[in-house]
Amino acid sequence: MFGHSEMLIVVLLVLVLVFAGVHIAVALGITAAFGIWLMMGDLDVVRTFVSNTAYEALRDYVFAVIPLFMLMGDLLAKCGAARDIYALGHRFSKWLPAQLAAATIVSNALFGFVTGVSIAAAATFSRIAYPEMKRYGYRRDFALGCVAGSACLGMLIPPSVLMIVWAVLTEVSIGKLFLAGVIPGFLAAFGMIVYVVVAATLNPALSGGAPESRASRTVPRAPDLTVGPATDTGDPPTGLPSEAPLGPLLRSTGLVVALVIGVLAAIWLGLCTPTEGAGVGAVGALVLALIKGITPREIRDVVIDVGRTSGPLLLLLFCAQLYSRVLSMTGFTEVAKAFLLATGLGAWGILAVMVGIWFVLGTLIDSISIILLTVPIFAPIAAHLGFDPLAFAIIGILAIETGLLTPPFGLLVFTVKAAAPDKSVELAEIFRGAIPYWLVLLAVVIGIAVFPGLATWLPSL
Amino acid sequence: QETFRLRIASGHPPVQTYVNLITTFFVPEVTKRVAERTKHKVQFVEGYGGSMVKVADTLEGVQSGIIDIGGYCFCFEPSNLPLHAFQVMLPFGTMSPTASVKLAREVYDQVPYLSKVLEDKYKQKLLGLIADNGYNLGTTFPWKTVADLKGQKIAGAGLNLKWLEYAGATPVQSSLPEAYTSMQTGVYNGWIMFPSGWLQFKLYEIGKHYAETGFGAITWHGLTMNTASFAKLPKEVQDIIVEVGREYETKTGSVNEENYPKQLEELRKLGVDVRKVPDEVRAEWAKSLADWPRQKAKELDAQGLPATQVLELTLAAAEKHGHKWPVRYVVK
Amino acid sequence: MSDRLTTPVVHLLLAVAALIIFALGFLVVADVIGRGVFNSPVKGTPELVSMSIVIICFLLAPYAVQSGGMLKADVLVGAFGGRGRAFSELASGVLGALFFGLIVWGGTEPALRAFMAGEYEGEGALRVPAWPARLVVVAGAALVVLIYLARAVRALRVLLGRATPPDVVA
Ligand code: NA
Ligand code: NA
Repeated sequence: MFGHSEMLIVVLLVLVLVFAGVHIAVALGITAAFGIWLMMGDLDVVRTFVSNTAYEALRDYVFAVIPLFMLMGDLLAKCGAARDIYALGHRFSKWLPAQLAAATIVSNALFGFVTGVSIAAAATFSRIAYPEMKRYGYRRDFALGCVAGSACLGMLIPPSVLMIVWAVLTEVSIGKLFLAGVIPGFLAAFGMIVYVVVAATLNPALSGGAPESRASRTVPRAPDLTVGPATDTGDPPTGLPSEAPLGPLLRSTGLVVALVIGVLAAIWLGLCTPTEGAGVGAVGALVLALIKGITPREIRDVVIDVGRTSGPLLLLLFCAQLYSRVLSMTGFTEVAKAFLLATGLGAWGILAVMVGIWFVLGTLIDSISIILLTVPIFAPIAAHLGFDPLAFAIIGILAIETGLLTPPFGLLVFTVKAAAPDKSVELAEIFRGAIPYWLVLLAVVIGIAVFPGLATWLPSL
Repeated sequence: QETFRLRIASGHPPVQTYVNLITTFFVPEVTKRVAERTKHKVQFVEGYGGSMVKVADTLEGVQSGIIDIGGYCFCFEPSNLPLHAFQVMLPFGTMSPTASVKLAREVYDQVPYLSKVLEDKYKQKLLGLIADNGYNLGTTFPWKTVADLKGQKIAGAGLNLKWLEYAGATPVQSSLPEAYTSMQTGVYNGWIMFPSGWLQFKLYEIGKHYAETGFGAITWHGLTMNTASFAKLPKEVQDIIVEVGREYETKTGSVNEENYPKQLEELRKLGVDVRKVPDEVRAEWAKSLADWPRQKAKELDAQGLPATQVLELTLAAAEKHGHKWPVRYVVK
Repeated sequence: MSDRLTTPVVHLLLAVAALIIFALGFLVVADVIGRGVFNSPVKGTPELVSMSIVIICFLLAPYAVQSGGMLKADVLVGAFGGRGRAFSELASGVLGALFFGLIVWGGTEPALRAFMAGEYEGEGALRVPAWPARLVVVAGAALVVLIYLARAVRALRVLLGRATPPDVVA
């Protein structure tokens, strides 16, 4: 039938273009335009619709959250928040086996409250935590896998760009979705810590311990280190004193975490809208950064950088809205729903299919593009099947996040490779080291599917 | 024997009465009657809640033909259709949705401009006018006298914000889908809103006070169809669409009228303090706005619109339907 | 070639957009403080903020494209090496120019009309003129068309062997 050919073309063309390496925003936009032309056969309609959507699609108060939360995170990161948090995590996890790896995970969980994008965390901790682990003789794939794997927490713990985009597309409350991510985020962090502790206990060589002498960890071993003697007073590559005075450290980290938690709490308690929270957070972060002595030049760099990163994102959002409108005009969403329901797979089977599709796409495309491509189709089906929209969103975000760690396109792995000071590191090593983290995320996905309360309980309070 | 696919959309979600009537009445009725009475078929592709068009670009969507039929509020078209908000310019009009939509239809019939501008300039045929149930004032805080409203932030959707001026309230422009969070977060503490909106968007959870101020039931939504899409259809299908469109129009009045007392009762059951505002207060309020209709008419007349004529016809038509204005506005 | 002309403009637009983002933060805070402390919000903040986002997006678009910041999935094409990448660059360039060309073509007249007729969004004291956003959409898109065309030409030269494939296609 005529109608069905339109929708097939609209779905297939975008996939062909995306996999041919065409800029994803362009692939979405031009396919949408072509779809309208197929339906209407009139170029005037196409140009009117496209240009009108360009003006209307983003003209919404809520989209301001994206650059403003980015501004907050970048300002805080610029004034050393990550380093302080890491030093603190370092202090408090002394008693654990694989202490530095555990500290990296804890710091990533905390830093997750600061940053809305995982890449920032991956880049930062590659420069702070990796040299430290290397100094203490951690096996390279174990250390790098830890940095890449725990960076996922940045997108899982609010604020998160993925959650914002998801919420905008499905019209669930941003505040509630943020809350829904907290327990799964901590659960994932906990699972990761369990992994490093167990792995290091079973095989002390992973974390730099010789099989028998790993009890005396106060004397660090640094067999392959050529940069000066191995003492526990300081570290030239990171400048991170392992015995930094606790007071100032607590104070500065405390301020950062208080600001971010305060902003998030204000959103959750309904004291302000997400946009307002993000605005207050950005200005608050600026004040903190000024106290910590940020220079005007650095402020300028941060602000320009936020512009750099939000541009492609906003364009993508506009093109995705255009595409999803056209997709619903072709009636594809209804047909896909009917088709999936008719397969007789049942709710769980269909969920498994969706998660499978996310895994596959995740190996090839970036997270946000995947959300934009799939959520307009999947979310109504999931709602129809009776899945809670918040739990479904967290399942989706987790499933898509796993793609950040899998070859061939593992954004976090690439970031770690690019940011790690050690240039002899190989991609394959990092991919290998990240496999357990991938499994932890998968376990949390299954956990939420079975117990949706993990995601829905906090927002329901 | 031909199948016609028609895309029908609204920026509002199906919980809203008029969208609900599109999907439960207009769509199935047209589909059924065309199948029964003609040798053709009509198949609708529906998109509500902004999945095809947003509230503010539905007019453009129908105009370009990207959707064939669209339902939208003229409140989001202050530049394109300023006069179509004419009932808002006469506050404290009839609270009966049935009467509101009937008198609006009479005015449309007597002033060809109102439908002609849609057809000539915006390439769409008006299939049916849409009434809401009567506008009142819901708030998060209790208030007894109008003085209590001074300085409070209260939301409306467009021109009806003017009604708040007398009370000295701070007007905030908003739209229903964002109402819940905005009120919860204190962006504003009240809404000029009909009972169905208060119920359907769960505003009663935050706004425990609902005062029947009786601003009036306003007919300022419309269901329109792209003229080219319409022209492409066979005559007998066109006739059915027009026929069902008119029935839909009447239904928006009667269903809202029927729901009004039920919905107030339900609000009460949900713990909302629903109370009537005394007639004297209403009269005072109306008196404060007595000059506004004339100003508004002048302003729009200057743009070449038949505003004075429309407002006078509306005043008279309301009286014909038995409405007594708290203040007899003078437009000329 | 055309890069020499466009680059300064592109960077200027990036700076302006970044400045608007920065200013938005302060506007929102002023609104929150005004509302919370003085019970008088900054009128029209939501309208201004939503308008700004459109403006920001299209001010940033030229930089996003020129700097190679647009997200893409080039794993499959990457398997074909430099020529594969050049091919996808060519496709992106041509289709991108077409798509943003549609925005320019369709948006120019409404932008002019908005300016002439004084079209606005919002109501009462909160009216925000529509023409600045409409104008920026058209101008930003026009610049993107130029940049995409230049990239397409460059990619074509690589494909035809007239230029070496650059290491960073950026
Ligand atoms: Na985060
Ligand atoms: Na991947």
